[in-house]
Amino acid sequence: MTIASIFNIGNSALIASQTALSVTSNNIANINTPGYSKEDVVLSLTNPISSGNVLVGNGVTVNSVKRSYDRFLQAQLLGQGQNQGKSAAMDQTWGQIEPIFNETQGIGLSTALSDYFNAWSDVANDPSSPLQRNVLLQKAGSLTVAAQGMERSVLDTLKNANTDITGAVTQINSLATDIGQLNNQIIQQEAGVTVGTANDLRDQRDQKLTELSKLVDFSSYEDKNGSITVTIGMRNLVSGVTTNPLSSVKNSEGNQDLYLDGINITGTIQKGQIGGLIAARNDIQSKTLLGLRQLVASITQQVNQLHQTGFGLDGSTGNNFFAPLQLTTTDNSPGANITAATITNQNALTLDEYNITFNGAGPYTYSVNSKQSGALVAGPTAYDPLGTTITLPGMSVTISGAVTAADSFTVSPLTSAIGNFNVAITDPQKIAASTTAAGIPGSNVNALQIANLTNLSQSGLGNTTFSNYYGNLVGSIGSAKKSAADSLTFDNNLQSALQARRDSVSGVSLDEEAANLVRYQRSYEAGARLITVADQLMQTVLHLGL
Amino acid sequence: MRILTTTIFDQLNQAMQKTMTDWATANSRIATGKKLLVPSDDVSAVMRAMDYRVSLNDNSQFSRNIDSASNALSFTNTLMTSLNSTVSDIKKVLNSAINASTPALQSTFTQQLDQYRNMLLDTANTKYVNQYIFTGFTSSTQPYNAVTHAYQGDVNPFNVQIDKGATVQVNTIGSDVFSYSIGALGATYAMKLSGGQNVHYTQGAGTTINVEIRQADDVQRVGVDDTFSFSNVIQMTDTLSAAVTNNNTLRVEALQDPFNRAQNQLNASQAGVGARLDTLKTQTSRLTDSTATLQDSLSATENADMNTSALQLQMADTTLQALRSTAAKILSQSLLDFLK
Repeated sequence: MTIASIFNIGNSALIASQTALSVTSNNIANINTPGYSKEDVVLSLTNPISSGNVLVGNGVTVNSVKRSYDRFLQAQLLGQGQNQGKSAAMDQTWGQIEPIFNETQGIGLSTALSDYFNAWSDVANDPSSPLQRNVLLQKAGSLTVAAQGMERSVLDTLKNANTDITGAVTQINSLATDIGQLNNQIIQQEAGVTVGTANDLRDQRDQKLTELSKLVDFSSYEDKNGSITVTIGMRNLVSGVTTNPLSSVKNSEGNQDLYLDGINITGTIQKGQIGGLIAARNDIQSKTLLGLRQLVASITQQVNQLHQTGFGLDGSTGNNFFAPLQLTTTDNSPGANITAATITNQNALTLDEYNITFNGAGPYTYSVNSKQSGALVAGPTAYDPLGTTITLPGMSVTISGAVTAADSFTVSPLTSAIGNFNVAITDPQKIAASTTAAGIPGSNVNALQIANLTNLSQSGLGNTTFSNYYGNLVGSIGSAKKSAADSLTFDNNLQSALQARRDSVSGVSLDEEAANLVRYQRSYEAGARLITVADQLMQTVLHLGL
Repeated sequence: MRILTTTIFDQLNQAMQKTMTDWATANSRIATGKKLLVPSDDVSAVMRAMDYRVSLNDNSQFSRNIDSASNALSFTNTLMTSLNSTVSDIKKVLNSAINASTPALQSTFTQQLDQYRNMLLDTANTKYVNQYIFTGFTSSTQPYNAVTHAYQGDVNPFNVQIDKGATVQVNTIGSDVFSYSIGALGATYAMKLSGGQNVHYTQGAGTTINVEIRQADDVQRVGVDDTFSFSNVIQMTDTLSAAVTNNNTLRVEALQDPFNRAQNQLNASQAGVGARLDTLKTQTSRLTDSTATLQDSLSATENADMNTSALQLQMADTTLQALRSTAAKILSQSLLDFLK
């Protein structure tokens, strides 16, 4: 043991204190950095040296810089991030739908619907009055404009949802690239290191994973080399330094489907922003939009059915009041086409949409199922590529050409029900208030029947009246919004609680760091003092005998 | 558990966000006067409110229908009172004409009867809101022919809806007011005139009544003195006027019973109109009660309690101020502030 070793011990104390001060400074600097995990220096003794027959300590060394991190909490946060991302997306999407049907403020279809049937009642009170007839046409026009405006707003919301999905895909790919690059850096930095990890890089990668969790549900696991593999729908998004880009492709119904590795994984995505957008989009399409279209289609069908049997003041009969329903088809077959799709009987339409699918390996059979319920409506029946006419309630569809088992068609009298919802007659004289030609001009029997439609249960609407059906539709939207809002509140609270727990482990405390600052400053000062003492000792030795 | 400055910040931030939301909600309720601002506020309440509105809207339309029907029926009732008075006047002239002995008197009676006939015809062809009221669906066609005085309308009822599944007839068919029936086709009855002759009244087609004046003992109808027919009180007045002019006292006397029956028919029709007006009055009363109840229910369902909302606003405001004050004190301090 020499005086020089005291210098070394003092020096080690200075280095250790300086490192600890650096770590403390870094903690303070990153107090507000998202995802940053507090770091602590881990000090240890240097190997003792022999001095005579005893071993004497030889100072301090920085063993590692330890990251305060709880892997289990981080996994919980990622899972909750997916839930919170989904809830937020659903809350936002339903939040766009709810104002369109906000009957509490008189916004929606209710007033227009009542006004329209009231106008029929007013025509019934005075069937020969041109004034009441003109009012009826005006109210009918208002009803069509209101319905079309609502459908347009709903479609805009769906379009926004699809745009958001596309935007989220871009973000996901960007995050995937970042994670891949961070994987690469972590592998390089940690290669051959036995103590400690690339803390800051891991924090950055965890932060990227946290951001990803808000967008999509995924699974991840860490490889031995420190890299993370991220999978979505059982396909790898990130594997080591390799990333597979997620892509969105518009399908035949106008929705964005998600593909990874060439596989459609749309159905496997349940959480995150994309999961929420897909869930809300599906619900809005299959319930809200379909319900609104069914309501309008039923009004069109029922009013036209009665109106056609009546007589106008000019003696005309057989006129539709609203433009009749039209068929819309979707073709998912490269080899076959729908060569004819005709409504044979407007009154026989059941307001269902149909999927036509094919089975076999040639010759093929076709089956028709209800798009909504999935119930088998027709088939399986042999398919003739030269031309097969399928008869459905109120309609017939002819398909020609070669098909495969992967092909399908959809037929719907509802898709264009609101788009084509227009008043078909422009001449008030043609409003058929009378049931008979002889009843002109004073008969109001048909007008009374049409006015009374509002009180009748409609089989196409689940045996409810127009207003009850619409009320249920508004109720379902309110419930969906409420459910989404409640879920979001719950998920936000849970997320906050988890974040607080994570912060309690990994967060930076200014009080702690201030204390550490003083502590390490003092130890630095003591180390420096040690060197001063050693120096004085050395001076003393040098002046011996002088 | 370690509590950090950031933890406190996050908690304060969340608490302030929630309080701001409460504050905004209470403020909106006070501003709009409604506690339901969007369907998701209370789905079942919103659906109830929509149902109430639909029912209120129905009531409003039914009330409009009733107003329209009441006005028409009140007008009809007034006309029928006038008709009744005219028929009574005709009957007085008839009774006087039976004993009219001088041509001058006969002429006076004829002039009076012609005037009454014209009054009946005018009344029968009265319009209400540009439509003839004593007819069916052919409401733009004059019900009674200006020359033949025959009914040329139809018998279809013109109904208006006064409740779900309930209608009331607004028009009054001319043939029900101005004509009477003595039974099925061929139904007959007889009366004896003061001179001993028998008068046989037989139901003809539609509302036609055929009259035969015969000798008292003429069972085989050999000695029929006179025959005539009419299908409504206007034609009866025509016949009466001609009989007075021609001093045909048998016809005059034979018309006594038909006028009585016509007046009874008129009274019965007027009673029917009165009954319909009563129905409308009762329905109006029911709708008024129903509307008041529905409006109370709607108000209770969707209107905000101003006192509660004001208190909620005040509470939120106080909480917000407390949070801000707390945040200002806590967030500004750390150990660094005390180290020198």
